[in-house]
Amino acid sequence: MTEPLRAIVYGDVNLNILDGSAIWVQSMSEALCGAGVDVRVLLKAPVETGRLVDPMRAMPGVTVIDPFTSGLAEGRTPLTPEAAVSIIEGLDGSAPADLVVVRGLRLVTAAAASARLHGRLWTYLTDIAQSPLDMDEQQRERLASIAGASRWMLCQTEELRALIEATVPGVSGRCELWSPIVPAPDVDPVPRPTGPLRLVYTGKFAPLWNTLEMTRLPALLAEQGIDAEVHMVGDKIHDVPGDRDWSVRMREALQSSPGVVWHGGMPRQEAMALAASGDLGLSWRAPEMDASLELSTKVLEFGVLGIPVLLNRTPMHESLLGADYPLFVANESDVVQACIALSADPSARDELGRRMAASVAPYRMAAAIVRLRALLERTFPSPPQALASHVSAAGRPLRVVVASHDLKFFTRIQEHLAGLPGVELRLDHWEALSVHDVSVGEQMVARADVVICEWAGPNLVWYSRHKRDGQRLIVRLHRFELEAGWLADVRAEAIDQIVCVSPFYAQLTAKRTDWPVERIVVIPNWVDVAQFDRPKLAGAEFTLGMIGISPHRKRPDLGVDVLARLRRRDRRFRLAIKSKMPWDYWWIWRKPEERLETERLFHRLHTDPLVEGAVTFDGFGGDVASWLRRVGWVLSTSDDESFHLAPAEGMASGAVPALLPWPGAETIYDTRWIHPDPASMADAIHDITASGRWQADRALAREQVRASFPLDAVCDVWARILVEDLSSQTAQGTLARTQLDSSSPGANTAE
Amino acid sequence: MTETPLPSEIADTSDTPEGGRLVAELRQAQARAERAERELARTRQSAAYVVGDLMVRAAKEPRRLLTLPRDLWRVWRLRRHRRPTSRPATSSARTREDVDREGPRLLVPRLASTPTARSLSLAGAIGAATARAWSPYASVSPALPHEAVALVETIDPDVVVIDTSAALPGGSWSHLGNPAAVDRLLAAGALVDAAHAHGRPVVMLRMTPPSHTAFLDGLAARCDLVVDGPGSTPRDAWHPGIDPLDHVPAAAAPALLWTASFPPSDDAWRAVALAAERIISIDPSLPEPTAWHRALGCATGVLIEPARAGILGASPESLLALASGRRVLAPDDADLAAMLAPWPALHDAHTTSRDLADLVASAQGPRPLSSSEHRAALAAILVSASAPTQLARLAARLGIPGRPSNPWDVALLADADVDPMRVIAQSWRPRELVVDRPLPDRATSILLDAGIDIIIGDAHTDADVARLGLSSAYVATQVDLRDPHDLADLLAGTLLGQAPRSHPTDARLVSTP
Repeated sequence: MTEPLRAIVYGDVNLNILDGSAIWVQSMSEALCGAGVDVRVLLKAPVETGRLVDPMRAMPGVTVIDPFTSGLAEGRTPLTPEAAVSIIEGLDGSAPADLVVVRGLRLVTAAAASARLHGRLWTYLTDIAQSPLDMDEQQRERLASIAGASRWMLCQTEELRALIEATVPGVSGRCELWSPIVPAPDVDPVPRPTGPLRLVYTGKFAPLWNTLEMTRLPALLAEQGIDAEVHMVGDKIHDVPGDRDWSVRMREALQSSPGVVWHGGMPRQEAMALAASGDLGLSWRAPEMDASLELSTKVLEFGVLGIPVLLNRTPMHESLLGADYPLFVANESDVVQACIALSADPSARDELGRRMAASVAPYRMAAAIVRLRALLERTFPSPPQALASHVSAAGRPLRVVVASHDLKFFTRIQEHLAGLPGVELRLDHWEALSVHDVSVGEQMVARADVVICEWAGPNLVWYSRHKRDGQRLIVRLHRFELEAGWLADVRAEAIDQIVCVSPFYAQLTAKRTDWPVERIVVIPNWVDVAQFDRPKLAGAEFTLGMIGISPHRKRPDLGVDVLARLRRRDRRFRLAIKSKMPWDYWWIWRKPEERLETERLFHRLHTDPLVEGAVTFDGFGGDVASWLRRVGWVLSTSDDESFHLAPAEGMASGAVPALLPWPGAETIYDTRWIHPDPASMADAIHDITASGRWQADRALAREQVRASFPLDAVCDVWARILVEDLSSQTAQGTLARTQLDSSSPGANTAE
Repeated sequence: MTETPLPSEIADTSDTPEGGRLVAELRQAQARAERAERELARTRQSAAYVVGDLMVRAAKEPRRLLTLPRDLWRVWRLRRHRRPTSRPATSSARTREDVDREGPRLLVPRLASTPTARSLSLAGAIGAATARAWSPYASVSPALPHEAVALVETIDPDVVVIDTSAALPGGSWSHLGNPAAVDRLLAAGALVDAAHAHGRPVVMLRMTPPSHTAFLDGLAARCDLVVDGPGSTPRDAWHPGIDPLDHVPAAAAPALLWTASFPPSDDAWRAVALAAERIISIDPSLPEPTAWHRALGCATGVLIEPARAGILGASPESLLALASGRRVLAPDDADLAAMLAPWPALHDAHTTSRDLADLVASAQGPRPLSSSEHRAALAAILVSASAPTQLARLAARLGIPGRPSNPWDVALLADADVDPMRVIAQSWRPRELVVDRPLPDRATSILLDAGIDIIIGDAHTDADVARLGLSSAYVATQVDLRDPHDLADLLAGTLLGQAPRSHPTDARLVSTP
């Protein structure tokens, strides 16, 4: 990592042509620059106009690299993807970049094949299949390889993120939303003129855009006693195949319709200034346009100006403005009714303007810079003071080895540690719980300052017996290891810190082993709260969710019990299950008792009229964050768990957790979410929903998870434990926090 | 020669860029292996494989020889729609040992594994209301997303349906069509592939607005037929029909069932609500049919959400209300008005204008329909929007031989000089025509082309009729063929248990002996 951070930005686009992808290069560079990053922008084509390039050259901290004038490219032919990647590699060789931001499928594919750039790519793709049904195997493979090479995959929309997460294995947690950016308007606020109601339209004139119908609005409103003007900006009148007269009629309507003021074509800033003086924006279109998944930049511009817009109800518009936005229109009559309502109540118009402005705020440059800073902080974390001091005193990086057969609960911590300046992290990957390459282990022992054993398996036995004096050994114990025979073979005195994920298991570990109690500490599991923070889909408050139902001790039958009790009172409740099926795990399915319970479960689902047809199995996959958008309650009905991440992930998604009292649950989660039995759980869910408290409870749950298990705080504790002991006090009490305070994870550190 | 590195060798170095690249290559190799497995699965779905399989099965089981021509024809007809199977990606390759072939059988509901003897079977993503309307007349198997493919493979229905009303919040396929619910779309895609692999047609029934189905265009392109029902746009309008016998006795006291959102936010609607003496709303917590029946049972009139421009009206709620003899206020519903227009008796049975005065007047103590209005309403529904007629039309459009059971098929007794054009002009067309001697060739040809069987024989007494072996449930006599709705009117009166009429003719409709 360099200080300041250095980025190379390349879009496989010709910056002489003013379009969305060219503007993306400019706005991405501006955002990086605003976040304090030194940016080198590589051009694809020789400069013919400085319209986009000149403003970038004027940005402090941005260097525009023209390969055609700097000898990096021959001739005047725009760069091929391969040539561009080669030049990027060269630029990186001369001054290494911390991140390489690239756009365009062909280019990104070529960059992903570069071993030099591997892991530092921030990739942005729009030119891929937009529907999973259109995605073939080749595209999936290509995306998987891009995902493997990317540090982040930046997605233009939530929908694209959902698509990539659902179709590309292993990408979950590395997809970030990167919405279009609307530049701040260069318009001074003007008081709206008094007089007629002013409706404003800017853009092209075409039948599907309802522009001809708009010219009739002043007359229709006059019939209702409303004095109104429609101001129309633009000079492109479409010729319509099959209706030659349409353009003539449109032009005549623009020129002669009463109440219509046609301003012709205008520069963008002037058009925005005119729009700013309006009362209402018009983006009402023909129903055929409802199928569009694109977000109109005109709508965003009206929003930035605080002008409410009349527009069609589409998924994108509902997602932007909320399903209850009152200015969704479908026909002239709706438009007239909305105008009547708003002219009768100007304060409602102002309120809607504020709502519009708030809705588009995430699309402003300032918001983009804030998002980018947060992402940069996550990617390039600062080391905690103790670690920084240690590294500084040692005069060399701290060498850390992680030894494990299964890193699924450790990946993000591993990424964090690997990203810390002053830490060199290597893996000793055990092929199976007790299968490993001894020579690799010996190399690691010879090299490492710190060894982390993820799971207290035979890996711990081996390292406790082979570690060097002075070498720090940390183990994280989950649940099943406590029943294992090999713990007796562990050389306990060799372990510096025994990390459990909950106070309950810490205490159980102390009880069942003779390991030194003062070295048993707790660092909770982590939840990537930002990744789960996505808007809920309609009907979520009536959808219960369970993640993982195998083996039977997860007790899906009790989840179905809860559902049945709820549906006895309200048939809107459903249960969604995200899980592999029991028969997908051979080691589970070979057990007769597991088969029997599964048979019982499905028999009930097919025969009990209360639950028949009300339970869906939504499959296993990495798209949990996206799936949780449909879930309002996450159940945890297991007989026992060491932590059970599902409720915490649900809380981060804005769902309310509902747990049965498995041993230790109260040391992790607030007891308000823990119910004595399925009947009480169903009562609570029904009461909260029926009394309208679901919104408040889910907000509280989200606050709690942010305070209790946030990824950054958990990672920070892991960074500290590399060089200093945590307090055994962490193994007492509960992890549940109601707000960020001194009792946040890892606050009890060195004694 | 290069060797593929072992996973452990790669893993040891995966924290280096080169190691990362090797891990990525290994993933790709695994993906290629998965692709080969899917290729195999696709081969099994190919026309060549399916045809071969059908032939082998027919050879093993002679009974299947009877259906072989039909099955082969379907395979031929649908082969152009065949697309590569699209299945959800899994995060890791499953080995053969991981999968117990016995497990997935649990997914299939036991009931659906034995299709009933009904002559038309439909399965797929079917909304609760649609399934309820169709079930008395066809074998209907609504499937959940996770079981849909297994269900289709098990019961092999005549038609697979994707009804977008099932995708509404709370529905069995909720969120299908929302770009965020990728799994639902993949499940629907797999359902289409499974249907085509069996040579079965897939119909998409759009019952929701374009904003809801915008993301389903790609799926629609894979279907064999896309039709638009109430709630969608009039691109290819087709009403799925209601069950006309699903009626509820009227309440004694005037009350208005308010199906639009309540309380109304708009002043005009507040005025309508205030005009009503009593307002009944539907309890959303009850099961759908119970909630509707309970609410309708307390009401004498029904107010329907105002129709939107460009969106098809004649909602099932309007029609069910009319079938139950309720007065209907359906503002702006031009489709309902058009459906009822041929029946002058229904002029006052509904209000489809948006005029506030009309609506306020209609909302004030709505009276149940008179018996003649009720009879006309049922006749209109039987002809234009009853489930058996609509399913029969659908089957005809798809060119499949299956036909829904229709308990109201009528055999018409007529003279041999009957005008065949007047017979086929009946809005409720008879299934059979009984005459005492052969008809002229031209008349025979017209009637047979219209799907009307001609039975020749005496029908003076019940015993005579019984001997004819008619397939229809009813026999009609003295029908006034000058009135194109006479047979429909007779049938509606009979279904409502109304007394036989004497004007304009002494027409009778009686159960077939």
